[in-house]
Amino acid sequence: MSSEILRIENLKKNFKSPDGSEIEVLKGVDLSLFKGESASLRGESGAGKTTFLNIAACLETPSSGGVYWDGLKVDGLSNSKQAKLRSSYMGFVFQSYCLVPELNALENVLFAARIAGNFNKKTVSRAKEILEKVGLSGRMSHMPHQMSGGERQRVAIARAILNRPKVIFADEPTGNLDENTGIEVMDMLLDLCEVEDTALLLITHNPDFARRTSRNLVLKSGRIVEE
Amino acid sequence: MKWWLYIAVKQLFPTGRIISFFTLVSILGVALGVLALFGTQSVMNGFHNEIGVKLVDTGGQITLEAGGRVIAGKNAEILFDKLKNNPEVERVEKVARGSVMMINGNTPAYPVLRSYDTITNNCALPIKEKNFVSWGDIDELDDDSVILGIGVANRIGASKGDVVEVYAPTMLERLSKNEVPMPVKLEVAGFLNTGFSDVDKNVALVSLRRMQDLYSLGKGFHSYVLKLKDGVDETAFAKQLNADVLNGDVRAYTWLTGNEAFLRVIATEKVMMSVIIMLIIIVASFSICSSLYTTVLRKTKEIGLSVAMGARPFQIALCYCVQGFIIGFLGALAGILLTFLLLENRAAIVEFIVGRETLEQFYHFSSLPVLYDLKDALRACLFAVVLCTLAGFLPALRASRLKASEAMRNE
Repeated sequence: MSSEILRIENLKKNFKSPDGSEIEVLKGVDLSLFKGESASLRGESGAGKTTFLNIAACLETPSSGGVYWDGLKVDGLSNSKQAKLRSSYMGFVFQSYCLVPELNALENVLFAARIAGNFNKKTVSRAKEILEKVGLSGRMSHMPHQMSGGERQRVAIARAILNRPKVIFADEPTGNLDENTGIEVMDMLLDLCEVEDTALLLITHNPDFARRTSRNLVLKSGRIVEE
Repeated sequence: MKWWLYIAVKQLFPTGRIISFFTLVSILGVALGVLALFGTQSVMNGFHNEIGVKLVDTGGQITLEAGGRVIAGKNAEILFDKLKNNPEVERVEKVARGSVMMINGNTPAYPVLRSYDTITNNCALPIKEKNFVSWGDIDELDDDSVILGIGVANRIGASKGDVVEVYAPTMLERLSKNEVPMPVKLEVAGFLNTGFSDVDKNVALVSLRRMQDLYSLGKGFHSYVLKLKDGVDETAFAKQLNADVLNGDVRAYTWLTGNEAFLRVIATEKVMMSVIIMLIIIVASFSICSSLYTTVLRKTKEIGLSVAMGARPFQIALCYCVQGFIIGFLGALAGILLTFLLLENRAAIVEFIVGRETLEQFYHFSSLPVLYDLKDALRACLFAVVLCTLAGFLPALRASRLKASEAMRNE
């Protein structure tokens, strides 16, 4: 059995609606994610998938419950420690790519290493290797506006994997792509996670993509159920 | 390089382009402000310095007067010797001066005659050293000749060799005795051209003996004028003279005291102009603040991503503050360079804008004087850099307070 990386216990999250009443989005979510494991999370729009991801990534605080990384409760840590945790444990891929427009493809990938404070010759060669793996060896010096959506998302994936995170959170990574490009990007993401032995939590609406992960989770009525 | 510095530099100078439009415009705005500020200060310093030099050259460093009374007698000679033997004094001159009416043909003028000791050739002013006499020589001056200020000569249409008639106020005494006052006839031996139009238009030089004769001074005179040796503090020297050497009758004052009001006007003018021009840099910093704020709004998702990847809020803030600093620093640098470029080519620019006559008429100079002061340059740069850094502070604050979870949802 692989070691547990992320554990979420009885996670609840309430929001205040404009009329002042409380809306309970997450009503006691439990989840464990293990090393190298891939899991998909589906659910209707507004079900709280992104909120769940944000809390798991320490970008939002839960109303109650616990978030544990490598057995350590992290939701009460200082901002600085949470930031350090994110830079070393997590990688992110978003629907809108979020590349820095002033940087070329290679510089965008290396941005993750700069923030984590481990920018050096080794990370530069690793960034190049990853870009080659995702089929962008000839596009390293290209700027984001000179690349297609699929290429941009591949750069974003390379950036997410660069620091060898333990988990990659991918929030609708194919949402802005056509079907074929979406499949290509998903192939790449799953392959890389497997090769790098990185866990993946994929938020998607696409059941086909969801089926390709080892666990299929659905967020329904504020709780996660396994299909 | 820290990532926030790296991103700040990259946002200003993106990969594949030399400079972004925002950076270029912002740097230019700051540069123009610094140019206006440092340029104006340098010109005002130049005016101040040039006027100071002209005032000393034409009026002397230190003047000793007896409250308008004539200085004469044995004590005057003793004091003269004391001053002459003072180790800090380079030259001391007895000077008599006063207004006269001068006529050439039927054209009158009312210049001030200043004496020049033709016997000792001892003069506290650098008339010989700076070649103030043109179309003649100061050595040609004798008791029967006059060196006219070039402006005086122009006014009465006098040329070299012409004979002008001079009437002194003391001649009125003869009228009261029913005598007809006869003018003194003096031959024009040359022209005084100091470059300080106030003097050139109003002063003429005659020998000390002629001046004593015109004003019935006997062996007396009106003042001692001193030139001190290089490096001697004139203010301290005058103070020491008044305290230790002079009695209450004769008082010493420096050219700074003698022209205090005039010099204060120039100093005040410099301060006022600097304050007004500082507004340009303030306006530029507001524009930078506004543009950076827009950038922060535009880059909400990128900022959110940076936080998600492990960036701390203070690092996000530094990223935008540093951009303000870089713009301010480069703008200040460009402003200083532009100032040098512009002021080193000022002759053509001034001629084109106001014309040389205006400069001579109102400021007494034939060319625009400039004096660069390192302190002024540093102050202008510091002002620009601090303001621009502060301009980045507000956007930085906004960026650092962005919550990644909300930023990533931002549409």
